[in-house]
Amino acid sequence: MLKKVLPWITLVTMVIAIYLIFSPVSAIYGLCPDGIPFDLGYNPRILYFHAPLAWVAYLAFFVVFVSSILYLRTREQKWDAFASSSAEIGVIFCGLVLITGMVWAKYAWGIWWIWIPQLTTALILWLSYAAYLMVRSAVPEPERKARLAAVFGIVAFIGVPLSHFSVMIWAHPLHPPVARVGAIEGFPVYVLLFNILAFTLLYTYLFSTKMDIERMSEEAQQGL
Amino acid sequence: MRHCLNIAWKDLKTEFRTKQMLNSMLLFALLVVIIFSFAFGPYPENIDQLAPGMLWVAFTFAGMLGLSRSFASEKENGCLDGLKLCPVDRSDIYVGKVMSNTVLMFIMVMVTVPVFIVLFDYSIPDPLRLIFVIVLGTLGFVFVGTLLSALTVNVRARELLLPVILFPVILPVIISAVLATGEVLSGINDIWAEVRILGTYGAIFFIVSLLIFEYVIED
Amino acid sequence: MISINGLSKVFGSNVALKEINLEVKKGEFIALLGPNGAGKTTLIKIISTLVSPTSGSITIDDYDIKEAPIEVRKRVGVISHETYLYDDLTACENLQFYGKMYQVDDLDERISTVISDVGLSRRSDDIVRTFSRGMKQRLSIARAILHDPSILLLDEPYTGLDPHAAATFDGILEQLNLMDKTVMMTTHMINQGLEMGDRVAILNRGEITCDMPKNQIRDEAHFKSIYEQCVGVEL
Repeated sequence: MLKKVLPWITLVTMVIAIYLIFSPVSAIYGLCPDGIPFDLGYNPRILYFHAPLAWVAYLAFFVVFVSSILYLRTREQKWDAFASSSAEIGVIFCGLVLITGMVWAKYAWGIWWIWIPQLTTALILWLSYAAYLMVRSAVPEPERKARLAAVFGIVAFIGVPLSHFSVMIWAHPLHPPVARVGAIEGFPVYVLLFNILAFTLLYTYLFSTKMDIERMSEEAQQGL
Repeated sequence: MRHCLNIAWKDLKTEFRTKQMLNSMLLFALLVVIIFSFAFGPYPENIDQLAPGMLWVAFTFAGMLGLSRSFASEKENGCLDGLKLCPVDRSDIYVGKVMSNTVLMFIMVMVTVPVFIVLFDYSIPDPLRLIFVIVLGTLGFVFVGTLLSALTVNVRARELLLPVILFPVILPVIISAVLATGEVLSGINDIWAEVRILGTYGAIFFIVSLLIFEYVIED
Repeated sequence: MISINGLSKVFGSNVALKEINLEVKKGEFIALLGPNGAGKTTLIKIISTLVSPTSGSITIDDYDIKEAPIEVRKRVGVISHETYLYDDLTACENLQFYGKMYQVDDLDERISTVISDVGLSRRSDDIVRTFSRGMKQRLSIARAILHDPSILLLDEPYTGLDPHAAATFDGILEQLNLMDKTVMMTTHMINQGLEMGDRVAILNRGEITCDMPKNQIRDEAHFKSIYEQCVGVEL
């Protein structure tokens, strides 16, 4: 039941979310109007993609972490499928975070890449989970692949906060905080929250689809 | 603890007999420093800014060579199985390997730093502080490196896989160690922020590795 | 004593061992025969705590392999086709290393005993890399019995040995068996298994399809016909 409804709910929510960002009506309620320079305190529209994408990436990697622990405890194939599906989606979303971040940086500061802590941490995350996928592809045996990937899934996630802290002290003295995002209040907050909801639904949908694929390929292998 | 020392002693005895790993680590570290000196010119003006990065690139790349051999050498004759048959905790094997890897790293560092000083006519204002930072950074590197070295031991292309998976995870160590080294070399005494991250990193990963090492060497 | 109850091992969708039940009494020598891929090595690895079972239990001298793996490892010696020896250490150094890991008392004395048991006293200070395959395998016997285990597990020990080395190997084993050890040997060589064991079991596709004492077997031809029935292959 839920499986049938989920894609439609996701589609509708995504459409509304995108409409909220681009509709002229929203601009009246405080979303960035067209043609406004960046330093007037408005947030560019890309924020409403960038932040939800980052949230989903973190969520996906957290799911990898928890599933990895559960896999090592229970040794159920299911948890490994959870971790691998979530990691793949996470890497894609994290890549989109980097791309939207670059577009934003070009728009706001005229350069494609800016070494601010948030973006640098996202880059390290992307590298770590690309490495996670490398571990998976390097080991052919299913049981060993699941086990080693689970170990790396745990190690990679624990590294995240430490990477963030070290990037903070690293970026600070070199680059003064150029990137001050305008404070969000009122209507834009709801737009942002709605977008987060929409992207989380998108993640859930992609995740369940990926799980179906995993199960089918498992069945196909057993049939052989 | 006795078992860990026994394993480390066995590793070092083997290593000093053949010197395969140590020699290549030393040569590699030297090459990195020399290549940097060719790349930046004989007496670069901003040597203070370049030095920390050069040193840590040399340490981590040469360390990687040692780490990738650390468990690979146990594959010969199935020795890893022999170790796992011994009536000791799996984590003792990890600690033993950490010990021998640390010793090899320190030897490599102790050769590289003087060479660096000679080649760049460099003087270190506060050697004790520098040693402290290097020890902390090296430990963090070895704690994670030993775990991931064991993780890649049964993988086909382990020499390729290890750097790819190790560097993203040890970036906090590299960043903090380079920053702290830079501050020590330029005479700034306040390195508490970096030391805190290095210490936390080492402690967390040592404990986590003790807990999950048995899953890594299960087969 | 080894007692195995309802042991199964599954690798992904591949069942390596199915509901194995086996009791090996103290002092017994059981030869486990079967074609390649029957699960013999997996069984040995599970008994020696290298691999954990999917379900079922094993006790070694009343110690459960899951609950007290360290006690089990103290009582088990393994001789495999891999020697577990460090090529760059001398024979004596290898034994010293393993002896310390097993916390053997009076280690030096014990080392000189086992090393003369396997006939390598004169080579004890030579680097293992210089040894022949047969000598390495003999040294690996010394390594396995160093801590005086009550159970010896032999996993295809004849792999890579020439007939002469295999005969020497047999001679050493026969001499050891007098010392009241429980022995389990896997091999795919039927004559070797029949010769050594006082009980013979056949493992095929993860199941024990035959288990009988040697005195019920008339001769090699008789056993070969049983083996063909169990495995379903013409020899």
